[in-house]
Amino acid sequence: MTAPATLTQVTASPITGRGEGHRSQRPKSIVPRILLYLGLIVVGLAAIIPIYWLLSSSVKTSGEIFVFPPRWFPTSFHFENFVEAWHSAPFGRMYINSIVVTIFGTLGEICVAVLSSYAFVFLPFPRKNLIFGIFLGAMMVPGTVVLLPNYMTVAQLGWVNTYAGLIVPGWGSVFAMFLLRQHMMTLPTEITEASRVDGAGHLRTLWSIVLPLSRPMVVTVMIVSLVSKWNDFIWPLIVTNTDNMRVLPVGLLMLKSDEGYTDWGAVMAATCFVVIPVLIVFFFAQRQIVAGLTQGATKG
Amino acid sequence: MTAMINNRFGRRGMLGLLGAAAASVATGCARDFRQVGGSAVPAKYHGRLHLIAWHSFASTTGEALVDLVSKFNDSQSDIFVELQYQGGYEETQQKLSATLIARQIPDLVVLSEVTWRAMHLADALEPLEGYFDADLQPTDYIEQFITEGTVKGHIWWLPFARSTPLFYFNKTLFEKAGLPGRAPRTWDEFADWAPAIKKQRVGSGSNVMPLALDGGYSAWYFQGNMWQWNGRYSDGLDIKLDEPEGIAAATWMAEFIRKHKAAYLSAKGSIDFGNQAASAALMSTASLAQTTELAKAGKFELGTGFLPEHKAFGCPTGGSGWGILTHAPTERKQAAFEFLKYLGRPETSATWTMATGYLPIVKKAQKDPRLVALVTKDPNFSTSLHQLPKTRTQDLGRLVIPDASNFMDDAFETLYSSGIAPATAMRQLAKKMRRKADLLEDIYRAHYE
Amino acid sequence: MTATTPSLAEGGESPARGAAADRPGATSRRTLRRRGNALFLAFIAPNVVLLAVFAYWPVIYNGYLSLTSWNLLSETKPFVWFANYADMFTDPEFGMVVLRTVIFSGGIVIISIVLGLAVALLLDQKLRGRNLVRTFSFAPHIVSGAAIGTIWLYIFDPSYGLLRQLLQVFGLGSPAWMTDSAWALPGLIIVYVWKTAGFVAVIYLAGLQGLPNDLYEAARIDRAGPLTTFFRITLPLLSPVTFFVVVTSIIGSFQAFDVIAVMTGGGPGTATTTLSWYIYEQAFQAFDAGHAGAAAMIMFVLLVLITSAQARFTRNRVHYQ
Repeated sequence: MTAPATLTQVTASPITGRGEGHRSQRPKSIVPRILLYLGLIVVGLAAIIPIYWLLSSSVKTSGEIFVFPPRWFPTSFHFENFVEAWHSAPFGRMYINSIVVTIFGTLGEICVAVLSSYAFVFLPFPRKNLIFGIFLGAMMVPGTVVLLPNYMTVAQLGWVNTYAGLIVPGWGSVFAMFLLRQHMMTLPTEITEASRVDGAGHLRTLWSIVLPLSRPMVVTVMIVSLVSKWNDFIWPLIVTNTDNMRVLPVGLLMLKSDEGYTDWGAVMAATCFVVIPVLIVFFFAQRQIVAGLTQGATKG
Repeated sequence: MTAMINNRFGRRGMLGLLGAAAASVATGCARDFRQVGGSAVPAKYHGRLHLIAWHSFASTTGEALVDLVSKFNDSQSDIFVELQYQGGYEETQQKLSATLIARQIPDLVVLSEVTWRAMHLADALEPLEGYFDADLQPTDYIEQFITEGTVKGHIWWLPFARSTPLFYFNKTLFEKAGLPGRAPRTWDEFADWAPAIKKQRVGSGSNVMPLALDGGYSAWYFQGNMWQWNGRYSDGLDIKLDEPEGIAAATWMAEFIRKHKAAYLSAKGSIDFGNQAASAALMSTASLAQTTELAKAGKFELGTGFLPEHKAFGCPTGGSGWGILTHAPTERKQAAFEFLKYLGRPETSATWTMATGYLPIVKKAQKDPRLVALVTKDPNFSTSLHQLPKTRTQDLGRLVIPDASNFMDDAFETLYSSGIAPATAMRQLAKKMRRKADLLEDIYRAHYE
Repeated sequence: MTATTPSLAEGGESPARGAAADRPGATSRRTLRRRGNALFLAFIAPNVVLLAVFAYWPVIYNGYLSLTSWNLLSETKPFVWFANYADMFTDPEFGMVVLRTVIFSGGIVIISIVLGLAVALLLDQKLRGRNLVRTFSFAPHIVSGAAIGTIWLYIFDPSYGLLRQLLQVFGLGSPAWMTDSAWALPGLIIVYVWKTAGFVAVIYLAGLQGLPNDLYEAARIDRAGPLTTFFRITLPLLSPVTFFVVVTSIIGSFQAFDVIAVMTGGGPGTATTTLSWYIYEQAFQAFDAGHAGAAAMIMFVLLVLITSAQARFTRNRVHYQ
């Protein structure tokens, strides 16, 4: 993109707010304080209520779901919904598929992205920036556009309804490469040059110097990629034919679209199957995700 | 690797190779059709001919089909049929088109009264008239069903899960509102009843709506209204829905929604009906089993009736049947027909009807003692059977024009959920249908005339 | 970035053969550079191949399909040159699709950014519990589109939904959201803003926390009021962040698909048929590869234009230090 920006103090972790200094301060008088706290509460609630609603609906009976006014707290925990949902489609198999596709998809994408970003930062080549710009163009290719041609390509390769067909098309990476490049550009060149002078090849430099130094960003990118592949459902919908190759979001969609299915408690429970693993990962790793993404954003 | 690239053959050669590879992938090398992938065959079915059948049935209906197929698999030792669920009728067609592109095919596929015609025009289906034998004859089927699948003397599509729309109503609520415990005979009568129904209240604190209109397949349901007003969608490919009768039918329904406020577009008619938010809904006969459960859960008595009339009676058929794909090897096609023969047995058809609510497809099935007993026990079951002789195949416009069922549904959804003038809506729809029908003209003539 | 000074031979590889060596025993500059270039290509090769096959080739193939009238089923793909484009440009329905997409996208981007910035400013204040709220605001972004669609369908339900209860507090009735032509698109905008605003807020927050103090000291000494400070100092300094979020939200909203697929399927009627949905519909429901391809090309070109216009516009305005 454009020349790298260098907002001062951005290498400081934004979460700990070392950079904020005197700029943001405790609001002085009491009335603005109350209003601000009110605002904070409203924002927090607006963000989290739908997710809470999902969780609470998943343990309600159908009778408790179709009532008005809505019941905020379930009176009993109707865990049968989860059992019912589990049996209404082969969710066990779909969990395995989701895990396989997500893990191998992420690993592949990271390897590809790391190699490319290293190349853009540390390897000489004429007009690298132009080439990088062309890469970025790939981000603008609308998802719905690639469905049909990719399906045809995958079919020619004999990969329809296989793990290869699910995983390989997602290995190409622009966003991950972009973030990693942004990060690698902040690494001091002396270290890499020292390694090269010592006679280390590029692969070795990448492996033993650059990667360890980039670990925070690599972790961020891995998590972003993981979440994205876990949630992906349009491509898996097209490329899988049998239930035993489908992934969780597809299973959820089929359950919901089922003409005869009216057990909304079970639909909510099935939705939880898809959402809870991601939420768990998120709550443990949100620091990482945010740090990485914001670094990419603020540095242009 | 760098050494190889540095080589004088080098970079350009690599690019050339890549280009050639890409080109060959693009043009496609394999011309033959292979069978789509299947799952592992259970041990007791080893050694048999493995057929793959794509279908569109989920939940209880799907389970009923799984039952039928296991019975078939257990009843003989040469063939093993594997079922693969692909989503609803439209999704199944999408998957089928995609897999045809990939030159992989299942052996049998469930096709709706709309989707089979597209496959027929695409020459993907096998003509079946030559496969009939002593065990099964075309005349065994209910006549209008087998005729619908016949074009120019060839049979392309065998009936399986045939249905018609039905007027479902909440008998308990009707009686509470002081109305007779039966379906209205005409739409005007229903409009007279509407105010009494609207006075009733239900659990969510809102007033009951007389009629819930489902967005899905709205054009299928409206086919009945078209005929009831003496209109039609089309005569062959000649579009007629913007004639005065068609506009009158659309206007009546629009006023029923907007002026009388007695009907509305519902996201899921069956759920609203089950929660008694709506007192009546037009749904498929296939929903009978589920709706009976819903009524039981909601503690109200379920009633069913013929579609209301206006100037005439009108009710379309719908549902789906099986097609055999023509690009499969002969051996598998013959085996596939064996499966269809099994489905055409009277006892199989009766079992399927009892488990799902779809209509029986062979004449003898109606005399199956179990079915007769069920019909006497549950009068709702007999409504669709009695309505059947009065039904007819839909106007060709909706069936043959590509994507017509989708954009016609869109047009009716818009009519039900916005303020568009009915005449405008019908004219716009007719214009679009004519444009698409023109594009279709040649291929239509080649196949139908 | 830094060009590594040509160093001695890469680990373990034999010296160049065939290339002119000026002095015996030493590798020439050109060879080294060529080797460096080759290494660059080798490193980016996997990504290049993957993107070429699964991102760029589809665009080219789509371009080709847009010049045909292929129905996905027949063996032949009849060439019709620009008939599909002409058809679409004269079709009022397509015009509506584009208009709808602009409204949809514009609504999401503008509202998300304004709300996101507001929330970021809020979270920037030293308030207790703000880290928790920050975490909460980011959560919607990571939940699967299918799941979001499912839960919001329930929230929007005109009889049993949470929104109905909320509206009742203000004495209003609930529209039939997803089955009302007038409310379906606004409803979807609400869902996407819910999904996006938190993401925008967190990014802006990081940007805010990275701003330098000296300018603010100066402003305070000059007795500049909060509004002036905001518009003259904060906002301009945040422009690279704004650029980033505007671009990513535009691209994201143009491509929005998951939630639409689950909640409305483009309906009721065509009320939520955005360009992205239209392309899918033409390809996989109408089996009209020609129109799908043409619409896809138009979308691609629009996105490229918007992004470059954005880049050009902000090149003059974006302030880097």
